[in-house]
Amino acid sequence: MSNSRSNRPQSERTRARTSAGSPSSAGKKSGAAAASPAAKSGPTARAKASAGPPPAIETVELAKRYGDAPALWPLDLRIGAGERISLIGHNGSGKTTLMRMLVGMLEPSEGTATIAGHPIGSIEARAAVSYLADQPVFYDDLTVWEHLEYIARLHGTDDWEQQAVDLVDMVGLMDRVDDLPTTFSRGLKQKAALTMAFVRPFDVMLIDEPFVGLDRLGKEALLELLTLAHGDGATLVVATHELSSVKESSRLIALSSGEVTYDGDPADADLAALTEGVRQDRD
Amino acid sequence: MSSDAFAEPVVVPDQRTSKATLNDLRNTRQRRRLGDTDWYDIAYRVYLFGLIGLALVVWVSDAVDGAIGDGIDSADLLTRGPSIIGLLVVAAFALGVRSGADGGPVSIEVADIRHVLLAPISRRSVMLRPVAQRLRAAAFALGLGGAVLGQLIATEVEGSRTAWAAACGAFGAIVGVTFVATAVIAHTLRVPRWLATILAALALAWQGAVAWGIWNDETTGLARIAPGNLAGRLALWGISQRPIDVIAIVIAVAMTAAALFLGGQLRLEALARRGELVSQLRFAATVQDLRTVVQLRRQLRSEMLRTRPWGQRHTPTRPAPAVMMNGRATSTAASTSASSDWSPSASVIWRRDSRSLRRLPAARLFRIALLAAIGGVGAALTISASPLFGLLLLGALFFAGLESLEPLSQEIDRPDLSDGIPIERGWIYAHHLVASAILLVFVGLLGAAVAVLVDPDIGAIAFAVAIPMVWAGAMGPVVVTVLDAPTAPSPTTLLGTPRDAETSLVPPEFAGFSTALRTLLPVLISAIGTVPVFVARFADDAASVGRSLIALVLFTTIVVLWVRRRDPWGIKLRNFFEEGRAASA
Repeated sequence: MSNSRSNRPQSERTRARTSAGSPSSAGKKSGAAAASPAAKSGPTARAKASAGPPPAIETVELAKRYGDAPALWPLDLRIGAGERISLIGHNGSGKTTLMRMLVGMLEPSEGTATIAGHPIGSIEARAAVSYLADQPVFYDDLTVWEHLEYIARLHGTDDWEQQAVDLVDMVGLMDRVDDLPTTFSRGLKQKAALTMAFVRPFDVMLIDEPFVGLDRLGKEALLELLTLAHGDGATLVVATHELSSVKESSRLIALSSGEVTYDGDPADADLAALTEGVRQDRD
Repeated sequence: MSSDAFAEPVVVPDQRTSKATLNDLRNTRQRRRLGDTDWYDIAYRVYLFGLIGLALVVWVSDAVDGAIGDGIDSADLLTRGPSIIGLLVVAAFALGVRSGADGGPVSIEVADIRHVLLAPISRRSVMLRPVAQRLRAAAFALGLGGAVLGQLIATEVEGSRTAWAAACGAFGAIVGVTFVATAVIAHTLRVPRWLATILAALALAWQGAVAWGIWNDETTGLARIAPGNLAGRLALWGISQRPIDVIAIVIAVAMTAAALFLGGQLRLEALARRGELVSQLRFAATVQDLRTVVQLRRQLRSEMLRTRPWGQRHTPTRPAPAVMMNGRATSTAASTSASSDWSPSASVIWRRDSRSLRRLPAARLFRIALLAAIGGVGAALTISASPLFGLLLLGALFFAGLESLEPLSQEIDRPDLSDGIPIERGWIYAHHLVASAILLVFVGLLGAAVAVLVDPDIGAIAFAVAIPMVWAGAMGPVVVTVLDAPTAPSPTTLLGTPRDAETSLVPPEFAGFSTALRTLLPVLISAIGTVPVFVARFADDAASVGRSLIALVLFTTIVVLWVRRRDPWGIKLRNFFEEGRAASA
């Protein structure tokens, strides 16, 4: 895995911010990092700089209702840069709703949220956040390789090819890279989606049910990629029912019926009770 | 919890590079699509469309020839026409503002939403092309329709064919642009549905009131002003041109510009929902599945059935859950087992269906009532004005029937549930028609009342024929719905030839027309429901109308019997042919 590690999919921003001794910090400089000086000197960036650095994710009274039915009650959340969060909860607890709002696919009914200090859905927030959805979506007429090319280039990454090869190799899709992913099985689709989420630069990654359909190789590859990304300073939020993966995280947030029932150290949590919706006070 | 925070601002990629990549992506996909295109199939479709379109234009042209020209004075048309024609533009605005509040009218692929709209690239530049394509398609389709109509009008009213075609074409394009641009603007401005309904109703009421007043010579001065008048007057440029009408074009262009500018603010939530549904809708339209098209359009409008049925004030009381002992309920096992003398009860189906119809949302009930009113107007005008209005009546009968068949649709669309019930499917299907028939009684009575309002001379005839008419008119939708039910798979046709061989040997002309026939068959069946109106127009004696009513009742009975006995009849027919083949062998 050393080859993958040295070429792993991390943004230049992430690398620059994290430990100088990290092997990846000597990696290639992406096109994204060199581009758009206007964004760095823009009024939003200056205002935020004067007020102190923002957290990776911050929500203020963020809520979502479908008609009269609440999917997520007003939520105040602050996630620091470099945190690795596990998000658990029963079906319908609000995990996917929260993620989709943070990525800008769902509009909040109330409240606000920011990604790296930028309003969700803004162009800066989109540059910062990578989203691996629970249902992979692909173009009918593009191969896995073409997907990787366009996604990387849309995010301003020019030197994407070696990175894409490493990712595809890591998840075991090298033989299928020129096939249409819409013809894949559920597990292969998930692997293809994984490579697409990691081929682009990001500061924050939101992952919804990433282990569904994955075989052992895929699960191992995903866990390694997450560990590498976290090691390089990326903020990770993983919504999962795989309780065994929770121990890898630095913080656990449990949702039940749209409300936070636990927010704290995973080691102190009664995971089985939390997934059934039992509220547990933090120590 | 970490206190770590972002020390550096987020870096956004260079927009020029991102746009170049986006164009590259789109061009690659377009090239691939063109490469995969079956040009023979496209040419055949164009040929078929052209043939049917030409035949339709010739038929309509022949039908209107002399029918409207004699009584129309150009000055009168210029006075009364604009406010009436302007109703179309205002209707486009009303539909647009409602569509915008529901999330329409633009749709893009779900993959584009996930991979492009979530990428750090200007959404305005991404959405520019889809919005422009939607505007262009609407303007072209209605502009073409307007131009064809202008050609037909030119044969009856003064003015050159070119002028009429251009004027009506421009008017059609304005109607198309008004619909799409209004929808995009309403969507991006987050106009709530209730406000959209009010705006639509106010605009229609204003234009309608002015048109009514001018028609009856009751309106003068400033009271003649209405929002659609300028565009309506533009449609009459075949007779004379008035520079001030150009303002309608300017407004349409301004709305187009606003829609293109605001396109980047379309909500992803709505785009994602539409993206998934529209791909299904296109497929359904491709295979001429009218029922599915209607169902998907309901979903596009986010039209959900009500949780609590109309008229139910309280949540029904239910027994407490049984105590579970070793994974088994202790109190219900005996009571839920089927008794040996069990037989199907029609009341069970009736209870289920009455709840289903009472769950129809207000918008759908309003639409059914509107269709009833349109049917009433169509019937009255068919008798008193022109048989062409029979098309209006036919459309209303067909769609009112389709809207009323919710219980049957629910059953047929979930065949696994029906097959799990130990009752013959035909029995279930036929009993599902009862509740819909009762709903259609109200539709018929409303239509009759409207018909009498439009033409009081019709009187009792309207109420006498209305209910059998709406029942017979609903038989087209019944047939198209029941035909969607699964049948026992068979590798051969009735004649014993393999199905694959049959489909591959059918010449394209026959295949095309058989597809068209499959689409038209339900409409043709519904057309039988309009017979009493035509009898009333041409025969004009009560005895003939009475005989046509008897024929309608017989026809309806036969279709219901077919629904009830379809499966056994199908088996008998297949056995008959197989025995015949065996005997001849």
